Amino acid sequence: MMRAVYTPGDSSVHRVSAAAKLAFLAATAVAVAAGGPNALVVVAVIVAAAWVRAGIGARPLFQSLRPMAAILIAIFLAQVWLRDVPGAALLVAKLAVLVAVAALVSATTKVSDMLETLERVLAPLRRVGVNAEHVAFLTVLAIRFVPALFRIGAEVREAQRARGLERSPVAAIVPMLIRALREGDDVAEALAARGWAPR
Amino acid sequence: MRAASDTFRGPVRVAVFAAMVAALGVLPPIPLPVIPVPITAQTLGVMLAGLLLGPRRGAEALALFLLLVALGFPLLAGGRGGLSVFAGPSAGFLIAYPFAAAATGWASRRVWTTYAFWRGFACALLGGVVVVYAFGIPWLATVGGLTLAQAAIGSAVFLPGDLVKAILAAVIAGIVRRGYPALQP
Repeated sequence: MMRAVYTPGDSSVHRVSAAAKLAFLAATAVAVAAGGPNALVVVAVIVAAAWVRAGIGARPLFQSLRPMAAILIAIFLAQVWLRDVPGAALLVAKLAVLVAVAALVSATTKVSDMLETLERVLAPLRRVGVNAEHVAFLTVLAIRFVPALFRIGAEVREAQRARGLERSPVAAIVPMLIRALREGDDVAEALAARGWAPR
Repeated sequence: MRAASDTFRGPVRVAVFAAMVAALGVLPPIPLPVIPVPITAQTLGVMLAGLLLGPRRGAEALALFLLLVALGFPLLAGGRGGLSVFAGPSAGFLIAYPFAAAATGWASRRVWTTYAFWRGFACALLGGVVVVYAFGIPWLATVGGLTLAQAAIGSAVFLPGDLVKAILAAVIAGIVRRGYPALQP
């Protein structure tokens, strides 16, 4: 099983339902995007307090923000050039706070709870042709295939290194794709034999 | 019997390709001379999904991949994942994936019987570059308070890498189509 960005814990923040946390995320996104500096400060204080209560350390925040650092700095510089320093700082702070709220929700919510919530949200869409069970099933199937594909990719790369082809992306990806497709077709066969009915 | 087994293969291939895009994210970055930005193979997966699965399954595969990321799996290149990636300024480039795969798949449907490298390349460009940038650049401009031109200039560093990926996608799709005829619908 692969590791998620979820950070295990038993805090009051962890115990809030996934649906409530997602609703909170949506509400803060609107408040931060539409509001001014005051709304931003309120949201930032709430999120900081929740973060401390969750007891998950600064790592999830750091991991979310670091890959965006370059683009946030670029936006800051562009805003300084286009407008002024306070405006630039406010915009970048808004983005950082939004990312922090999202990171908090993902770090304190189990994948299984997220998936369950998704299934419940999608259930009423049955009328317009969305089958929530089918979506959940494919999600679980994909989760099962991810480690398999990582393994196939590593094996293929090792084999091509032995042939001196480690610098060729085509030699890495073609066998990976064909093996993955074959493994998928085997699984489809097995599912058919066990009476699975897609949609 | 053949038709019956294909109704099972299709949905499973959607899951396989979602996982494939994740696995492409951990491929060693393709080194390009001159350009300082390392390119990762993830958008290559977008182009391949369109070229090999067609518009509907291709779009479903990429939507499923984004769902895995949103659920909390760190499957984006560089080990990023969770809801925070959708809150960042470059989220438009991600949201574009299913639409890009659909566009590439839609175009490739029209060239399926007579696949040729340059046709595959054109299909890959349409989805993997035109559609991805059509979502990513306006999104970046809106969120970052930039003009479209500034956002476009900032995104242009990735263009050479994306062109290389479109070439790779066309080559790979050509080989896989010949090597795995069961893929033909």
